[in-house]
Amino acid sequence: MFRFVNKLNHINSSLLINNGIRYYSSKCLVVAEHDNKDLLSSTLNTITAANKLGSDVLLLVAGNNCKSVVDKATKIKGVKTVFHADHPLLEHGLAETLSPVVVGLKERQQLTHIFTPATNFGKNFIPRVAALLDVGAVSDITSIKSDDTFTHPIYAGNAIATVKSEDAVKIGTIRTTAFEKAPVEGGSAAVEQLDWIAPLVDQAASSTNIKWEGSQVIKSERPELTGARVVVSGGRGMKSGENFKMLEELADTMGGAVGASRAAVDSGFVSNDLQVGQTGKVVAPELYIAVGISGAIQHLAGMKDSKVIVAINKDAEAPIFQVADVGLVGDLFKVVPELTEAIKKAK
Amino acid sequence: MTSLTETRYIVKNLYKQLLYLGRISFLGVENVRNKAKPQFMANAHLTDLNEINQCIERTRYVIKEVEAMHRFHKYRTLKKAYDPEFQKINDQFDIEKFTLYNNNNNSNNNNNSKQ
Repeated sequence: MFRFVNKLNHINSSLLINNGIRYYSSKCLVVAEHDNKDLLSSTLNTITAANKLGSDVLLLVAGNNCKSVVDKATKIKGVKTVFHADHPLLEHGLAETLSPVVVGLKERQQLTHIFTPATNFGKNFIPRVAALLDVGAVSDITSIKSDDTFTHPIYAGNAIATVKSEDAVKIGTIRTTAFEKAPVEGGSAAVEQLDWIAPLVDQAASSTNIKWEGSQVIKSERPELTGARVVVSGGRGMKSGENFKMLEELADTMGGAVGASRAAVDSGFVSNDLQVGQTGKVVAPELYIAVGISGAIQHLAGMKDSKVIVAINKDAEAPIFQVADVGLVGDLFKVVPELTEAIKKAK
Repeated sequence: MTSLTETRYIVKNLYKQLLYLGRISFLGVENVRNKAKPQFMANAHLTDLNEINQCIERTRYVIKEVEAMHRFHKYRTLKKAYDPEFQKINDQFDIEKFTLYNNNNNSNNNNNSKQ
């Protein structure tokens, strides 16, 4: 693997100087991803990453009527303070309304780091925060070397870049699969209400003229794709969206999630939130079953950290077999139901 | 790529590159030669520059794919060799039974992988 160090900026701030007072301790803000009822597990991974800095970990829960989230957040091990920002316009985590809150908090708390999960939520608002603070953002952090040096994948994961940020405040999104989940019990964080946010949010909403129209959420009983222990993915070989039922059944018997390759998504078999790969989600399950996927490198980049890779494909020449730990050459329409039956029987 | 002699050298060079990749990667030089040689020979008679250029472009693409696959393979091999957690799960994964380690809720998958 290549390795290089980028100098992002030239402001020297190994210690933060503010109003003549030197702050030797660092403060890391984690912006929590939640659905106003529950904390999403990606936040827990991010808290682990933040704790690796050895700094105080502060958690921002910004939402609407999200008291229950705050209660749960205070119990997470390793969190010092939970900031509770409640405003109707913060309900959906819009970048336009959330960013001024984060920026405002940075100014009041002398933050040294701002982290958030590298999910659609985080990727949405972090660039805006970075621009408002006029600093660089490090995306998809996979490990933390020191309080200003991070590694992250570049060129679709073919190389790992070690970057050093010399900005006053280090901003980054955390690749959730690279860090363990923080324990949800055993912490006792203080809660702080943020009362000053209302005018900021209102002003941001009116100046950007943004409003929430609605969303289409696909409800699923299955575990989240990025956090599942088992992922069953289908590709072009599935022939149609109907046939994905087969995979869903297989996934359900193993308590896993269903994914898809770009070929399957582009052919309209399934919706694009299932896409695994360079442009889709990055997964790292313990068992990854690739069904009818030939193994384009862009897809492999999204699942290379899977512990065990099982491939089912009728073409013995498919590249996926070169990287799979277990390969099965056969007609998936016959093999997958057999596999499902066998698992059910074994239970 | 203007003349036939010129393309001739380019093609030879590409073939060499493929063999080199075979040698350094897990694919093996024999394996690559067995696959690549018939395909190269099948197009040996081409004299139209456009067609030749198309073939050259495709070969370049394939070389990139092989390179990427090589890197991917290397990444996983190193992970399996040095990452303790990776090792643990891979060692405890039962191919016959499809069982993951410390499995309480998922996977007991019977031997479909025998085939």
